[in-house]
Amino acid sequence: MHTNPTSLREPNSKSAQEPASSRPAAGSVTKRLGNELMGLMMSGSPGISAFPKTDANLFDWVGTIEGVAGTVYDNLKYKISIHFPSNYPFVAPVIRFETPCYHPNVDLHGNICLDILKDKWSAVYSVTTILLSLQSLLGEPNNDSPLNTEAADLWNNQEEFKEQVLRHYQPIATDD
Amino acid sequence: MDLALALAATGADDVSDPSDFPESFGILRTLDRTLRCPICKDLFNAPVLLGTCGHSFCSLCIREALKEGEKKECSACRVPTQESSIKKNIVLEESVEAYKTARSTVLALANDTASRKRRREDSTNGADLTPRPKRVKRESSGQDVDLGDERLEESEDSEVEIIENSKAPVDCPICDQKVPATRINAHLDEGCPHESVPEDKGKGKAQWAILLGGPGGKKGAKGGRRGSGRERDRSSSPPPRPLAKVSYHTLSNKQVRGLLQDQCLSESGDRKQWEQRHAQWITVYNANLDSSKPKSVDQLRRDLERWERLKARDEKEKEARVSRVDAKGYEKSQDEHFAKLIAQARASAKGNPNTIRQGASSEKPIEISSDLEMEPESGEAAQATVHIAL
Repeated sequence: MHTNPTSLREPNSKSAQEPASSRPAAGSVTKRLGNELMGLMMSGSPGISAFPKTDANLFDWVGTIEGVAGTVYDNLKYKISIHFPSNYPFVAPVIRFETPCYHPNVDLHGNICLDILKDKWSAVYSVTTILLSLQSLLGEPNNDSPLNTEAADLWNNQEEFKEQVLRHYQPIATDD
Repeated sequence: MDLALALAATGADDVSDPSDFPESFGILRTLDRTLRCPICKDLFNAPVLLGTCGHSFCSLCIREALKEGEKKECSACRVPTQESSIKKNIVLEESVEAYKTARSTVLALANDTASRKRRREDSTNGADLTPRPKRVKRESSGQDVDLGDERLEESEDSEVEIIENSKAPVDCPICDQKVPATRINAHLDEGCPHESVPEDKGKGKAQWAILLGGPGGKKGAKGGRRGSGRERDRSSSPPPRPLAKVSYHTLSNKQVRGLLQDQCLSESGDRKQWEQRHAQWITVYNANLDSSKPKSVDQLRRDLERWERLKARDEKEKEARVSRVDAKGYEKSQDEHFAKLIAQARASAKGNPNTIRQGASSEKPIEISSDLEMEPESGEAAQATVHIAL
């Protein structure tokens, strides 16, 4: 998942040799996703990463978010899935937690309640902004509109809350 | 996984990014970033200004955002707006076009300087490091800026050479005209229009005469179009007008088909598809009018077909996704409930032999349990059976 940025630059000439006919007819969406991928790799924001699941399909990504130090999610790594609709970025991507996440705004199936992924979505947002928002959501839940009411009630008791977080947490399997 | 391979697989290998510039040239990264559309993150294409807030976007980007979004608001600042507030941003378009032409040269210079500096540092440190591989940017024109390693071996004055070269005319590889080096990319983009290279004073004078030709200058403007000029000679035909939006719900099927026929668009699919196709056509057509280098109407029709294919594929995928997720989720969430029912049914069948006699056969409870596992949605019916069994 973590690729060295300098090594990314090298094989670019190879890609230029790809015959134009092998490209899928997707145009602006794939271009924007390519742009985002590049921006994400180059910006090197700490604790977040995302990459297409397979080389063939740029519309399904997997990402990871690390909990920020000083929160109950410190040192925990969460895997998320990102699906982009064909009219992205005019419509928000579909995002779910794949790693079980005990959090007031995440339900048992990994669905997330976050305004910028719903009615507050804007076409100027990107994967990077979403991942950063999710990272900050972990430490600062919105307890007024919980998906997991039990977690919302428990939030004030941080010690017990952390116990629950660790009980639900499953480390990401390293398959590569 | 490899970024470059992933990008190549998706055909997005001509992606450019502010981070193309070396880290030591933060000012160039900033410049590059400011000339990009906040929606598509690419260099502005036919930029427009929203009169309501002053933010700029590509014409197509903001039109699609206003069409697809739930609210009519600026994507950058959420100030309410509408399509009539979209105004061409001519200065920005000229700046971006000039920047696109210059970008490869600037990038080459920056990379060159950065690598030379690094080499100097390496040699003073005595370290034997291979120079960092350069990323050669492909501009929209497809012109590669050749940054081979030979250049690294060149003497210090190579910088001066590049600058001098950029002013000198070069031969166009296609039409053999003399074209200023700074202009060659744009020249190729535009399909080799007539170029005028100011060669001597006399010719320059003649051009001024054409430019300052007053009312008769219109005729001369054609020949006098300078390399950097963006003005198109449209005097021969009136500029095409934008298409008006249509409220489809007041129209009959026949009228909607008529709208499609007027624009020479396909009439396949159902009424919903007709409306979506026509609405998208209006968006791309109007956005195209904001460009100083508009695409042909045929090209737009091809783009529209491509858009529709992609949309169809996406909807199919979405359906599959929803049904898959639902079945899985339901099974999982009801698993415990089913197990409990099965256990109950088994226990009661064992504990109360009457139920076996009442049931059609002694195997009945077990059959129910297998039913439960296979068809989660029949849970209600199965529950009723269990009641009878009890």
